[in-house]
Amino acid sequence: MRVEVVMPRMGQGMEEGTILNWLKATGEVVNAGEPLIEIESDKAMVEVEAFATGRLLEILIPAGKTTAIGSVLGIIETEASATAPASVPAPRVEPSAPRRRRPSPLASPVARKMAQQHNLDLTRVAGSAPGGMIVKRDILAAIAAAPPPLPPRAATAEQPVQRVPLSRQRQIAAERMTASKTTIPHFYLTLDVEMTRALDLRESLRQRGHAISVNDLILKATALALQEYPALNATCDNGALVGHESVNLALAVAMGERTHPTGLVTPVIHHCENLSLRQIAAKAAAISVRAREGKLTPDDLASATFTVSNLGMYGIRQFQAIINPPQVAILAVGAIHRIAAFDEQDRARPLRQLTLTLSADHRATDGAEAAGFLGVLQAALHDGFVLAE
Amino acid sequence: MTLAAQSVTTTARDGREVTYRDAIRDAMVEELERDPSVFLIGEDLRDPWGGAYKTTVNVSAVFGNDRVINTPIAEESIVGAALGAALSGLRPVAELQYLDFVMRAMDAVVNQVAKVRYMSGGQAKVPLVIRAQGGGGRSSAAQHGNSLEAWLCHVPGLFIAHPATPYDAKGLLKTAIRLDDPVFFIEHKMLYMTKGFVPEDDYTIPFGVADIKRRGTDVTIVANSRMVLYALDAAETLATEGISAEVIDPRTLVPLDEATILESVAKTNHLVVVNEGVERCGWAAEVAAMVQKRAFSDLDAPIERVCTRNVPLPFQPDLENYVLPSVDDIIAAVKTSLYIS
Amino acid sequence: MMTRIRLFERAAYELYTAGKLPGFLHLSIGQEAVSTGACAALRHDDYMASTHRGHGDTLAKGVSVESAMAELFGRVTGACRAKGGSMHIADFSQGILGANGIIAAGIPIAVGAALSARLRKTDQVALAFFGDGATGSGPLHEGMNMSMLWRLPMIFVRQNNRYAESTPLAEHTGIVDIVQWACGYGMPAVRVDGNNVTEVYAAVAMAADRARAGEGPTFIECETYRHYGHNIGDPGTARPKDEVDDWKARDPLQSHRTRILESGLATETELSAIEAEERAKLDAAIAAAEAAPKPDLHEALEGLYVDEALGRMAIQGVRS
Repeated sequence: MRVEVVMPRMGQGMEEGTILNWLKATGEVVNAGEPLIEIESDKAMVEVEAFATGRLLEILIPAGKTTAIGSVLGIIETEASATAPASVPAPRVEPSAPRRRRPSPLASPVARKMAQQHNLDLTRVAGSAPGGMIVKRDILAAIAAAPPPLPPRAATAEQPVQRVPLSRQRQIAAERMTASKTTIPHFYLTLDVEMTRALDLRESLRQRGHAISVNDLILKATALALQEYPALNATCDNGALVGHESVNLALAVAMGERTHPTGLVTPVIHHCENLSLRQIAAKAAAISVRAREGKLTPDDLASATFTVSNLGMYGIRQFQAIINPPQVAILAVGAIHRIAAFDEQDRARPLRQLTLTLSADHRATDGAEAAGFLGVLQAALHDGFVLAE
Repeated sequence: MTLAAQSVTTTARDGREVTYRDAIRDAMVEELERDPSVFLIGEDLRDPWGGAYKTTVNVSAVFGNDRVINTPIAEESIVGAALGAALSGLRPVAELQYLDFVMRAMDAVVNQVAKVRYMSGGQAKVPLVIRAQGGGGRSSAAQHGNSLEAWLCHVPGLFIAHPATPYDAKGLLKTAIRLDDPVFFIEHKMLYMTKGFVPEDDYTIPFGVADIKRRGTDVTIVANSRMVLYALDAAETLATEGISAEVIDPRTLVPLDEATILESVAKTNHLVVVNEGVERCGWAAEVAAMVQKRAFSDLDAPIERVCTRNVPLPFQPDLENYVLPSVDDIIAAVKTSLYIS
Repeated sequence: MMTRIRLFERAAYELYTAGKLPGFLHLSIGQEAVSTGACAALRHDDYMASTHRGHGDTLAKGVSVESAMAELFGRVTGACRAKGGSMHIADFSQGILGANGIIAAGIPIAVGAALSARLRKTDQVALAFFGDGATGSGPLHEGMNMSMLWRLPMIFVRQNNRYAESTPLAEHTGIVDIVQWACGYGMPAVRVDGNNVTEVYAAVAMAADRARAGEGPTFIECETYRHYGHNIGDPGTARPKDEVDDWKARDPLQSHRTRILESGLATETELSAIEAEERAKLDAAIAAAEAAPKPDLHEALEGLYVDEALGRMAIQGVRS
């Protein structure tokens, strides 16, 4: 099946866009959700991800060219069965016709033996003997062309690989993640925030006895920005966007594998629009404790309008998170790192920088809007507005 | 039990170039000398005739008429009498002038010689060698050029030796004479005048040990008797085209050195069997069946057989050559096996 | 000996029809005088080749009743370890080159043994039994020719029971006078009453003497008759009933019994004692045979070659 790659609308006024870079070459495997093209709109450089899984069959518009919105830039050829699972409404029951056996590819005995030894799929090997039979030289050619071979089976035959079936919760989470990644047209905006002032003022609050985490600062800034950009606080409901008055922020809390079947929960702090920084901090702390103790209530997990995911405590500098439907965006927060910058007098001064990456649903918003949201967020942290409360 | 295949090393031993015919003669002479119970029996063996193909020249003159017996033309009785002699303490080497004439003696060979030990519950031992020469190539026509080794391999109770070179002929014949079991020793009329190095010393070649006459990596060619020489010629030509053929000469058909053949096929994954017998139900079919059973997953292609066509041998030389296996036939079979057009 | 053979054959008949003996059975009842007379004239180390109807010949030449009976039963204690059966009984320690299932095939083998004796310079002789049915077969002529040519110590004994399976003599042999025919080879030949054991004995003894003296082969025609059919299962339609009855009345055992008694060689009592002794031996042999074990299955794949290692290679095949 062929899927067209089109020039996306990256902003309200965008009429055309320029392809800066194809991130995949013709013939390469493409997975839905992976960045495929770098495009420049009138305002910003944006990565556009592939919306289908398959092979990049054709690049129709090469890098450097400018085309109108909606024009076809390339073709992805998907495998017949590799349509997004979400598009399948319910498991279809096949009529009980006798199952047609796929004929095994014609191969010589030694070719079969070698294919088995090298973990080669005979259906992917071309046969050069009469009748299309696969023979030894074809296997040797396939081995030479293949990526580095897996360790020979015989050597690891004594060590059974662990097979752990997914728990029900993990399965559900996995299904939702897969559905999100394959149906929501993600785009990503990355911004660095200078945190010095925010951190200084956090320190002074701490000295006055108020424990505030960096994440709390982010949460407050996010709540402020979402009030100015309510489109990112909406949820998707059957093709319609539902706006929300309240800003209900979900925060990702990592659980030890031993205590929680999914390893990750996202408890919600409701009505952040009404909460001060200190109130947000207190609620975040409390809900995290409840989460780790396994005492979250269904209310604790419901009605999130936006998620903040922070991997800074693991030293991750930057990452792209997957939107949790029915939300339309998620903010990924990296770790603070010190860098040097030069002022106008060429004097070196240290910066404490933190990288934010917003994943946004292109059906609900566009690059300009999302960029605006991030700008407000950045300003709130940079200038210390968060401490106004 | 694995038996190592040994190629002839000619460096360290004294010897000389000898014809296939003389190597056979020498083997008989040396064994007549070594063991007084050995004697020869057959048609036209005595001097001055010395055998139809001159394999017994100057033997009766030296050893006397009691050690070399000329018989009437009575193949069944030649074999039967040789059997009677073997059963009563002697070690006869009987000659059938042409392998074709064994058909006159088939009851004696199949029902008597091969089976008397078994039927008597192990009482009898039959230290008997029957020599005969077969094969076409000199317009001897349909009744004097048969290659009947398949018939004889089909008889439980015999050992079958089938040498291709003077060295192999002498060593195998000596072993045959010294064994206490009946051996059918098949020579080839077109090999009698071929020459090869034969050591001076008293050597024997064990049965059941094949000889790798040429080492190679791309294809295994198993051949016997004159076809070994054809296979070697084919291998030379194939080498100029970049194809490396391994040529295996089993030397004894019963017992057959299966291990050497299987080891080679495991290496090359391709097998061509060349045999001068008629294709249908011939010896090549036995080898092919054994290899496909024991080395199925080593095969990259069906096993090729190069044999005489399913017709009697015609008299006219071109027709005869057309019907017999040729070097070109072997080359073509190798290429078919390797999927080279 | 004739008693021994007669009792043995009768017992074989009963046992076979009772289903206890596998394979074929060719009875020699009625021909005991030929077997006994001829073999009595041979030395222990002389050679003898017999036919498919060989029980009498082989018992007469020295096979024990026990081993012969066990062989018929197919027991491991049989003369051939149950590998040969009725038609192939052999005992090489008694000079028996074997009974033979192929018509006339034993003749060249006996010729070979005679040749061997000559080459080894011993005074052993070789005797070949054959039926009138072998008269038309190649190997008989080849053997006659060869042994005359080389003046071999051979004795040719034709057990002429007038039928080759179902075919009467006149219908399978063009030779009108077999003795004259043998003389045509240059070979001395004599015709005797095959049912007179002393006549047979005398003829073979004379032939053996000639052979040992280096005077070459002799042909002895023995006229006899088998009381039963060709084999068990013979419908009995080949021969006229009065002919059979006629010959049965000329029973060799009866006539010899009479001869012995008349000449005073033994008394009635002594003869009865011999019979009883043979009877007892036979009964013991039958009991022993029935009790003896059958060969193990793996023996089927053994005893073919002297060289066991090469033999295993040759026999193995592709069966696992």
